[in-house]
Amino acid sequence: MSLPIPPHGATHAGPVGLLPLWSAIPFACTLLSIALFPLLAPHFWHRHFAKVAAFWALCFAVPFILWNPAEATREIVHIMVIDYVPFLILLWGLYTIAGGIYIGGDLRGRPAVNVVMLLVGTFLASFIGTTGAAMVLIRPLLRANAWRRSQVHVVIFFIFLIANIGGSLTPLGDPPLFLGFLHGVPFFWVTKGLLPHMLTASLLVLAVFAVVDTVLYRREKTKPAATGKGGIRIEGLHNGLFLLGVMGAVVLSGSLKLPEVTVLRLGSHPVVVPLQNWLKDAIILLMGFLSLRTTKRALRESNGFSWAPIQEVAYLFAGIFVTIIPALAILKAGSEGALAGLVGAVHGPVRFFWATGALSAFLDNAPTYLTFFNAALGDLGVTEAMVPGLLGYPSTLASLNPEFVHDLQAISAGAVFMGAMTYIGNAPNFMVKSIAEEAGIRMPSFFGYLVKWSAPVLLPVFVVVTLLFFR
Amino acid sequence: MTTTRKAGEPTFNEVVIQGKAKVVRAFLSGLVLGSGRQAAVYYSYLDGVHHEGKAEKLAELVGVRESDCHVIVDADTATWLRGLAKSITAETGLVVAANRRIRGASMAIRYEAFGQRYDDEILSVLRNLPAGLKLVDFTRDVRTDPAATGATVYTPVHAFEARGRGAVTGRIDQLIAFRRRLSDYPLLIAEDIELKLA
Repeated sequence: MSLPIPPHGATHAGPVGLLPLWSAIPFACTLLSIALFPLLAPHFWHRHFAKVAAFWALCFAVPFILWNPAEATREIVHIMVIDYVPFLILLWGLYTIAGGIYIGGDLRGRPAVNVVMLLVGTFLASFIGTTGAAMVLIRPLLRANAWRRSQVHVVIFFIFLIANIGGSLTPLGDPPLFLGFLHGVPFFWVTKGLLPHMLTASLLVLAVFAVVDTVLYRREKTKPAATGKGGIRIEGLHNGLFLLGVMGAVVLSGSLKLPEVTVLRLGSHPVVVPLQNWLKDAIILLMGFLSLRTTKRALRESNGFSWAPIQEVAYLFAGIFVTIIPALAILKAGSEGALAGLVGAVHGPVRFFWATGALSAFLDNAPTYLTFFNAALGDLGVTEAMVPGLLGYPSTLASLNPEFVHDLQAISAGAVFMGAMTYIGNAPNFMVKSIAEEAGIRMPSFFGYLVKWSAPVLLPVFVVVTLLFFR
Repeated sequence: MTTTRKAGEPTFNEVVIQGKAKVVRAFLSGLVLGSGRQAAVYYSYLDGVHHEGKAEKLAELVGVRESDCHVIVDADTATWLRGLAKSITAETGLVVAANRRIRGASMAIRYEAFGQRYDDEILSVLRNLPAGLKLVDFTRDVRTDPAATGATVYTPVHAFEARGRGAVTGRIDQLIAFRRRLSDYPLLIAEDIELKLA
């Protein structure tokens, strides 16, 4: 089978936009591997995930390079420099800094205490990332509830709120939103644009939790003796300054306009990186190293900190970002690309919310967000450079487009919220499950989680969000 | 699975009374209380004793089968109820449909533990069963993976995994008491108690 050779620069997605649909098979296989191997062959996956990711990446990259060496090299360098490296640096920075904050103390897992912990964690997740918040807060929550016979629901709602919905207020909160930021979505648009959706969803879920937790608390035969002060102790709090540094760097990179540096002159157009992006990455790296230098190792050990999660992200997302190239280009090509049918079918906020959400529930939500973000651009026939203007920010390229605003709200909310639907929807879900199981909690199976918990609790909440905001 | 009964050990019967479980329970409680007997009475639906399959449950729900209540009582009470069967039916409409001696009882158990501490705790429970109960066909599989320590996000495995399954057999009253105790061990899953009837 031969690849079509398009006229040079045939579409705004470049010649790659006219790649056939089957060139996205390695991308689908990468996502399916991430989704299925942990369930079907966890030990094999634990040992060989990097090789599997590399295999799928090569399945796409080798024929791609043979087909058009200049264009392929350009596309791969472009996605690595623009998406992968900044994405990895941000996750590393947030994870490193969050891992230096330890929450201890003598909390008792009563309904009021649990509700407050979940509420605080939900908002914290937007600033230290869902993975960081999950790592910092899951152990204190488990310790507080260790005396209870019914603990499963606490962990489940922790996954709903802290590992997912809570990460929707800033691009730091959840990887999909940071990818949006890297592709032109202004930092505070996320906060303003998703606040009503996030408040609605999290307060409804929290209300359900309060009822469930109160009922189960009343059924406990023995309540803990009220000894000790019952307070909390936070150590490594100076890491908060480094978090502010990271946030400042990200915000700064979105508002500064420094010269662009050409990284590669090859293919249809050169790969350029604005200097402010490198400045942001340098500051995040500095904040991370300062956190490592100034935080006692014991605090990280208390949080169960290890580099394994970042290594996993580094290997797997290298594969994801290489294999996603044809999918993104095809979607950007809109009605001219091989997925014109899909671009035409997924149209309007309701469909974007549920389509992004449904895929985010079973595949990783970061590439899913990027896919639908590009589908929305393709749908409107606009380019990434126009995104700030379309969202109402000053721009010479475009002006406010309410249709795009609603579409992007729906895509963002769908990707972040519905990652909670299954264990495989968002990276921290599995981490929380594992930590809870090692603490002696019998967590539900994959389908048990879906059928008994996420579907009955979250689907009605998402229907309310749809009716209120996306109709 | 059958257990050999020692001489002098109490024996039990399963009595099946046609009628709604809650009605039967209310009636029997009153009857036993009024008689002043020291009776051991367990209700299958409350204590996880297998008494009907899914098809029977469905048939009851759609009304093509009469609901019934399976009660486990000591042998003396079973004999006493046998004598009262006709008058119970005449006065209340409840029909004693069966009254059979229990020859043995067993309960399948299984567990999964991802921490050595929890595995030890469960093994201790299974190794120190109450007198009269026996653990049979027990198999345990332990897997340790030193490479799997620490938190992971995309490749979740545990450094320690223990899985076990088997069955506990013995006298029905002791098995019921043991099953109730297992609610303190959420990792240890007890299936319904299966009865072997005479």
